[in-house]
Formats: sequence, structure tokens, C-alpha cells
Amino acid sequence: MIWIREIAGWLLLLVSLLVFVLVREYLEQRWIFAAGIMAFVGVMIFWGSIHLLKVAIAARIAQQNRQEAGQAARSRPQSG
Amino acid sequence: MRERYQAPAARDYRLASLVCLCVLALSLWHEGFEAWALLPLIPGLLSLLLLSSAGPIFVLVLLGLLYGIGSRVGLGTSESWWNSGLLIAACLSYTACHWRLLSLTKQAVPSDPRWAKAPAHPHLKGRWFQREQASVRSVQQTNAGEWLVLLLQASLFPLLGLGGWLVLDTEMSLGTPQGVSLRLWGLLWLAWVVLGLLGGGYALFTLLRWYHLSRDEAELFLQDELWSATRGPQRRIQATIVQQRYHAEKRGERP
Repeated sequence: MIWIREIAGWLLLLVSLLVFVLVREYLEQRWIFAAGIMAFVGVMIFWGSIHLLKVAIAARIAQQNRQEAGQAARSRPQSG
Repeated sequence: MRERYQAPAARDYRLASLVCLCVLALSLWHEGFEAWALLPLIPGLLSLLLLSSAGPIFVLVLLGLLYGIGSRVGLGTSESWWNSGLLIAACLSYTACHWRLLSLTKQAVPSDPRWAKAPAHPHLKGRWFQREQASVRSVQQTNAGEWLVLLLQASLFPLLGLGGWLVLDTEMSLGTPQGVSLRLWGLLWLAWVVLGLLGGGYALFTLLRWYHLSRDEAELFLQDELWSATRGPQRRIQATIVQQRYHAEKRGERP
């Protein structure tokens, strides 16, 4: 699930870059209203993708931490 | 659950969802999608029968696919303003009605798995506010105001959407405007380049930093995210539960 989130984050980042390329094309045509709307959409997707990536990366690191702690607890010799 | 499903409020929302789905299909048919217009009806009707929360998501995704692919294969070519408005209103109303039906019959808020960890000490009785079961909205709480709000939303938002679309269509149909100051376009270009560089730099440095997080930092960040994402709903849920308990105690009932 964490990997899916990370991949989805990178895909969304790619989509936001494509939206910004579209904004550049609209600016070339001097369509200011269309460019403004698409710029807003691009910023929102960009923001969401970075947030998704941050959460996925942090969750992966935290999960690794727990797995390693579990392995360390199992390999520790039991006292008494 | 059966009594809740047969309650008048649930029946009204079920009928309204059905009507909205039919309007949606008719609207798609009118736009030239032929038999494909019935496609969003399938997940919509199934989720109404099974009381699934996946219905509106699948209906919206199928609508997006129909519009995305349909235009490339020659479907959905006869667009009209009033029909587009009707489609937006039907889609919005169906989503709202379906969720309201779910909140009356199945769940408004999902069950809280932390309930299993609640301590059973008598001193803590009444201090554990979250419910074990998924909570549903009281059927008695539904009123005419809900329908009024839905009607207002279903007429206002399509109008706003169509207004924006009209401006966009007019701008694009006029072609490249002449006589616009070159300095203004130069500034816009500069803003695009600067914003692009800032955004790219932000993404690059944030992700580099994030890939080198320590484990404690990662756990702290996740806790912080969970808290900030859920504090609003948690506060509202707990306020509602406390209020209900207060009124129940006032009436002399056992909460």
C-alpha cells in the first residue's frame, strides 16, 4: 500500500508538470483565463503529489523501523 | 438496519438518487453517447442496492472515461449548454443523496478500531467517547432544510460551472488576441519561469530531505499529519456525542 502511494505521488507530480506545460501553451496563445485556471489546477495537483510522497516516504521509513525493532526483539536472548 | 432502510427519509433519498441517475443517463443519451449512456447506471444502481460507498466514485470515474474516450471515437458530440448544466446538477445531486442515504442507513462515521483497546476500568466509564460501532445519523434529525440546501447547491454550482465554461469558450473561440501589451506577456512569461523554478526547486529539495529522514522524524511527521487531518472531525464528533449525552441525562434517560 505504501509503494502504491509513492508511485501515485510520482505519477501525480508528472501530471502536474504536464499541466504546467499546458499553461505555457495557453500563455503562448494569450488565453489568460484558461491559463489562470490551469495554473490553479496544476498548483493543487503539485501540492497534493508532494504531500502524498512525503507521507508515503515517512510511512515506509517508520515501517522499516518497526520491522527492524521486531526482528531485534526476537533475536535478543530471553532472560530468566 | 431494516427499519432504517424503510424509514421515509431513507426512502426519499433512495428515490432521489434513482431519479438523478436516470436524469444523468438521459442527459448522456441526449449528448450522443447512445447505449454507453447506461454505463454509469450500473455501479450507481448496484451501490444503491448494496448500500456501498463506492457508487459515486465509480459513477464519476465512468463519466470521466466516457467524456475522455468518447470525444476521440465520435461519441458525445452534440453538446448543449442546458444539457451540460443538467448533467452537472444530476451528478452533484446523486452524490449528495447517496451519501445522505448511507449516513442514515449504514454509516455516517466508520467504526473506531481503537475501541478494542479501551480500558475497562470503572473509573474510565463515560470517558471513552468514540463509538465501537459505525455511527449513523438519526432518522428524526432529517428535515426540509436539507432538501432546500441540496436544491440551492444543485442550481448554484452548475450555474457557476457553466459561467466559467462560457468565459473559457468565448476566450478560446476569439483566438489569439492582438494589441495586448508585450510587456504584460513578458511579465507573465517571467512569472511562469520563476514559479516553475521555485516549484521544481521546492520539490527537489523537499524530496531529497525526505528520503534522508531519520526514523524518529518520520514517525513524528506521521503523528503530526494524523492529528492535523483528524482534529476537526474528531472535535465535531465528540461535541455531538457529549451534547447527546447531556440532553439524554437532562431527560432522565441512561446515555
